[in-house]
Amino acid sequence: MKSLWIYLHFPQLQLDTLLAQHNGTGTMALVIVEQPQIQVAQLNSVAMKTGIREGMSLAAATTLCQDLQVYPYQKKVEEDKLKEVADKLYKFTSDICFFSETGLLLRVHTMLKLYENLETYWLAIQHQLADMNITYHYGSALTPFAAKLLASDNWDQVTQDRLQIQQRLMHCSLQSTELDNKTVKKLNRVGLRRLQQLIEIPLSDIAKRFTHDVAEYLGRLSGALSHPVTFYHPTSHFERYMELLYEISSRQTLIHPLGYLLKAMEQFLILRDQLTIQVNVCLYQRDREAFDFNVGTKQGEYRADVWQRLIELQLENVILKAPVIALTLKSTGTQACVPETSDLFTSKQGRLTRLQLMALLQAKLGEQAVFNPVFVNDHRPEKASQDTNTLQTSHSINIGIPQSMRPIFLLPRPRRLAEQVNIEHGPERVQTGWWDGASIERDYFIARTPQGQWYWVFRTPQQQWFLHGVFS
Amino acid sequence: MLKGYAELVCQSNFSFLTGASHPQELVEQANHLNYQAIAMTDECSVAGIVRAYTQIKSNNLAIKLIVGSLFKLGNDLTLVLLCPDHQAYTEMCRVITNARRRSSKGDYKLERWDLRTIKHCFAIWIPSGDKEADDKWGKQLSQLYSARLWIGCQRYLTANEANYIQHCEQLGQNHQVPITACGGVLMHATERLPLQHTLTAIRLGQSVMKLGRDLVSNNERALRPLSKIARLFKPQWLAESINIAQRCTFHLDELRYQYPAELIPKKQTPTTYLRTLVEQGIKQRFPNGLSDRPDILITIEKELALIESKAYEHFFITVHDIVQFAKKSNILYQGRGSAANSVVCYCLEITAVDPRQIEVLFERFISKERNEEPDIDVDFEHERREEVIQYIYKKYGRHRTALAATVTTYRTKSALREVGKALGINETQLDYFIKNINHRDKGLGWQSQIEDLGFHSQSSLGQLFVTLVEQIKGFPRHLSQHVGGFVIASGPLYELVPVENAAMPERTVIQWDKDDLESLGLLKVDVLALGMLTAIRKSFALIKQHYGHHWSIPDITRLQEDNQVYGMIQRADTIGVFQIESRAQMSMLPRLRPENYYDLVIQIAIVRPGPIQGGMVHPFLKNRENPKLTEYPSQALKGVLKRTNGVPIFQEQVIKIAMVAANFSGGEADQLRRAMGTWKKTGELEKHGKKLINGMLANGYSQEYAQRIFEQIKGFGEYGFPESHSASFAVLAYVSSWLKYYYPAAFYVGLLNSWPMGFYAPAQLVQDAKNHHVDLLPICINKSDYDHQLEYVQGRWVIRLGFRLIKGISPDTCKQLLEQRSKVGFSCIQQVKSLIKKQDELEALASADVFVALQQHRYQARWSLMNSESELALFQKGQTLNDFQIPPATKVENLIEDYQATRLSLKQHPIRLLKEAGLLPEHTCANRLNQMRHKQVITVSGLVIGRQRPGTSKGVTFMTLEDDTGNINVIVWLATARCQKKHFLKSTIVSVQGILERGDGDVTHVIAGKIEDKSHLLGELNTKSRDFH
Repeated sequence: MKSLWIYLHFPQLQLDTLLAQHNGTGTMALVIVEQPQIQVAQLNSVAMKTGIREGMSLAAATTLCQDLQVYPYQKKVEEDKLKEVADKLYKFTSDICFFSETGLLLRVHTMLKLYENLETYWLAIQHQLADMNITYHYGSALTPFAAKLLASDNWDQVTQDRLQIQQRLMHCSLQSTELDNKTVKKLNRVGLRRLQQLIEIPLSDIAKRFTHDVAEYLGRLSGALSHPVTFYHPTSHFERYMELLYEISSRQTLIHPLGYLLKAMEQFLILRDQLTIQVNVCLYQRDREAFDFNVGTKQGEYRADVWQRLIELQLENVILKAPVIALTLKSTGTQACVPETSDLFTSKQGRLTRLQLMALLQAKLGEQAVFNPVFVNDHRPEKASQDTNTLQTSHSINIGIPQSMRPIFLLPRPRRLAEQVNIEHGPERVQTGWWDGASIERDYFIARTPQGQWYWVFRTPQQQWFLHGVFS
Repeated sequence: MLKGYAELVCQSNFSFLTGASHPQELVEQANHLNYQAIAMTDECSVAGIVRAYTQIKSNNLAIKLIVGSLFKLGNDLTLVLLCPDHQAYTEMCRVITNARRRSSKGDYKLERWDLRTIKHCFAIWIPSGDKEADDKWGKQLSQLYSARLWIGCQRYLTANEANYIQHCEQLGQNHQVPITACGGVLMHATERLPLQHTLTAIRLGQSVMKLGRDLVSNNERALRPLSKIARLFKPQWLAESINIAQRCTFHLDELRYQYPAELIPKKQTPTTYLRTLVEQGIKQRFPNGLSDRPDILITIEKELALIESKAYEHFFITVHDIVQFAKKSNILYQGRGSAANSVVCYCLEITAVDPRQIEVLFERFISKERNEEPDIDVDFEHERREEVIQYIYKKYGRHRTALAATVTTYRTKSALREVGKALGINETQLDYFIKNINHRDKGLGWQSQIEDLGFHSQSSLGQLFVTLVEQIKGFPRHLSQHVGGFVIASGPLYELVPVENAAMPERTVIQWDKDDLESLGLLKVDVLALGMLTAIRKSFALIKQHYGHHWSIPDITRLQEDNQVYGMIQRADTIGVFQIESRAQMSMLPRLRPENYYDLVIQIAIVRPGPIQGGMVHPFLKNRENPKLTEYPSQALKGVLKRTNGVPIFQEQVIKIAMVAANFSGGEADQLRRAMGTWKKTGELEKHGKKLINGMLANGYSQEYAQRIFEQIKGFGEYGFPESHSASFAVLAYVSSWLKYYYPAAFYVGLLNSWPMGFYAPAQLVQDAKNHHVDLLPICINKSDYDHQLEYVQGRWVIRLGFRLIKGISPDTCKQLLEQRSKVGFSCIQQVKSLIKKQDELEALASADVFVALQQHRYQARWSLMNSESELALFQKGQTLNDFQIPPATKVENLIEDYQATRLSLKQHPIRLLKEAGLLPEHTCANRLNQMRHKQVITVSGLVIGRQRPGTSKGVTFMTLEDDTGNINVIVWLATARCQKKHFLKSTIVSVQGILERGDGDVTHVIAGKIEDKSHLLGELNTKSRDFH
């Protein structure tokens, strides 16, 4: 049986993902920008109408459209989406290959028996893709490279007709092939621009001028050389990342995008007839470290609404320090049971992970009761030691203990000094923090009360005195 | 009771990224606070000292300035050296030089050995607080310096300070070293704390948020009021600071420059020797004697007397020596500057400005009353300047010569980037701002532009960002080398000023810039590079070789003014000509219609921001048409302005006006001149502005006139153009015009062979040559040389293009190829292949279509050369090659390949091709513009070959388009440019719909309405226009 392949090329996966998650964005001009060059990589039709084009610099694009929505290109989003597409198609076609970052290769000839003919097969595939609201180009051919080339050239046809395929192939520009840019440029410089021109040249002449890669590509393209590909096997865990179209600062509003992800997870679990006993929600916050938490149910669950209720409960305790810009939902599958005989203070790490221990403590004591004191590199006493949320893995621990004398007990808030004290040391003047709106200007002293207590007090420029800490 | 205080440890912003105030600010503030003295002690540097000195001198401040420097050795020694006397200063310069020369640019490395060599400086030791280390150093330092050592005790109100003070006192007792109070000042006022933090963050490459305790904790590093100082330090420590300050008697005024003595022959004094040289020069320059021009002789005598009175003989003799070397080596040069246009310099062959032509020159020479230093810049051929530099190094030795420094300061771009990073702003975002801020948009500041780009400048971080960027602008970042200002001394230079390494290997710079040198009355010789001189020399050589005519610059200037040449200039047919080839210049030529040398001098100076901003151009034209109607604001000013039709054009005139009309003293006028150079940075000019306007009002001038003069002074600021420079430039402008008119083929070849230089790319020069009926032949493997050549074809000289035009081929490869080429040339392509090893270069040759003579079109040639098998043997055996035949390129492909390979095409013009293909809208060609009506709406299309925005306040941009028939001048108003930014800024081919305007002298422009980018039509067309130069 002769082989047949279909290649699906997705030119704007990230944009499609954004648009799918948020209905009603039809009126906004939206672009996705590649980072180092700061160029438009993907754009919606509204942006297109304003005259913005792919490859345009962001500056030019913003001149053309004042209220342009701009998103940085994120490889991960595209990878996730491509996996999602593969997962979805996997129900209908078994041999799927991640052939490139923006496309999937389907082995068709092995499926034709099941579907009887190509048309029915393709209809089934198209149906699934239509559901996903995703932009794609496609082409069928006898070899993977040929299928890819036709799809990248926007052929958008599926056929088994050798001649038709061959004719169209010859038309393709060398730019669309897998040949590297340098080779294509070299070929262009001798006037060769289309595949046909290259094919007409005897292979021996090509071999004298180019590396083996060119001959190998042409061999694989024509089928003269075999082209082994590896096929995809679906994963057992659900994990998906979602970029938000708007920044969300209220917990209530977060439920909506979370619901979307939970639905997707439900689908995933149903398909596999699985339950999960724990999910992990990660919230990415503007200009802050990401923040994640686990929600578990011992008996295992797959339903989105049940998980949603559990997460809502957890979310009530979460304080958002900054607006959320994206989130990830992960099913962490089975989880080790909580051992009952573990000593909190042994230096050896128990079987509990740090996170599990925290979750356990928090479940018992309430989230606010568990924190981690860390030293922070700052002159300001309020900033110099901070209680960080335990769920965050903090990187700033162990910055070093300040050299100067500092009391062990710091009042949560400085208090007006009400008693008579004797100044013993000082002043230590701290005037800093102009950058974050919490600047201070204080002269600190170590003072002694008539009762012999050692106080840490400060004086403001207005000559007001405050107690800030007590030495042991 | 406090007697006073002297600040002995103070770092300015010349301790780069540490000090947060200018030296000027520090001395002003210290004076204001009634300090008795202040020491400028930058880290291993005296780069800021002269600025402090000048500030004190020009404002008559009462404060005393002490010269010093701070050094660090390892982690635990900080030592400040102060200079009590000249000997100590020399010693300190030597220490700095040694420490600097050991390290790469910008760094220093002090060694223990250096400490032992210090025999005269006072040393203030700042203990580190580490008991063990301090004890060790205390012992060593007290042994080394005994009575010249103090412990500098600093108080910053930090935690545990009491312990530190106790520690210092203990050290003092243990080692018998007295203690003095000192401030360790980093800023002149407390408000600079955020900037000081930001600078620290830039230095450490972190954001301020992350630096925490690595930042200073409070603003005690500012200059503090005496009342506070008195509370912080013991009275005897303060008294000690005064004591030290009083013992420091060294003053920068003492520095005197000793010129190299070896140039003066024995038995001659500098004065007699200069006279001898001038007398020899007179014979050379005026072969018929000067009996008919006694006035010139009188001028020479006057100049010599002045030189003698100022003792400048060495300076003239040194420059003379350098240009004599150039002359002997056949390097073309031209002097310019205030002293360069003296008759003495003409006789010394420093310049070719013939005094018989410019007797009208207004300010021929150094001005005695202003005490201005003589200024001679010498331009040399840009390709051969290095030879001159090497001569200087060889002649005087590296220890006696160094380049002056240029202080590189923060500008908007660098300030945005670095302050942004320090404030933790995302780098991609900063990049985006920096790339997209249009610095030429003078009307719209960068603040509002970044807001347009999406930055919230009203947020608290945004406001800080804006303030800090503005503060840091003008702060020095590092010292780099001046373009060519050499300082030459009689003895080791490091006894005068520290010398450090420049970025270029084998180059050293001193720590002072040209203003510093000027303030101290030290002279430098500017050895500069000028492309036009190379071009002219090459043209002369070609003329000599092919026409047998001998020409030199003075030969041409000695001729009578040539009407034919001026006719060409008046038609603005000046592409390739020196200075008057820019669009702004060209648009003015038909209106100014220069008829003689002095008109050219004016032409060059008038199309400058100064006169344009001052609104002087129109009055000049009007007055020139009706000299009788010219009104002079006063009789006194008539003397100043008569030669320029009542309108001030040159920098010298503006200075003179300040003196004549606003009663500026010589010294004040001199300050004004300097302020003009730096007014953007310091805002100092405004001070002079008030004085100028008030002075002029008091003398009866109108407010409007005074204001206009001041506006012009501001315009001069950036691009001030003195008559003395214009006069020299005019010589080159005339000589290049003369060459273009009489020897066009040689002229273009000279230019093309000196490229890169000038305003236009080879493509435009070639197009201009074609428009002047100079024929060009393509590059040929058997006929071309590396350089372009003249070839005699059918009774005339035509240009044969050379290999240098080909992108990606090195001169060495060409040399090798040419050496192997026999008289008959190569007979097959394989011979060439066997000679050139680099595949890229071979293919570059093929794509440049050089193998036509070997019956190989460019595609086929490149294809055969790509073959990795050696075919030469095969070919020599007479076997035929059975290679695949690649079809030849089409017209469009040839054009694209021409541009890709050589950036120009002799065969085709892109606009013609596009027109033939029907891709362009209906449009008017350049050669038909003169048939169009004034105010007619037309469409033109062309390659964008230049965009230029002169610094006028109106913000108009000139865009030059080239089609297959000639050039089209398009004027784009600011509003049009702003709203069609993309089409306007980024396009290579455009169609412009607009209104044709015909002005004075039949100058034709198209005022742009709609600009449409057509670049995509020839996507690969690789023409780069020359933007904004």
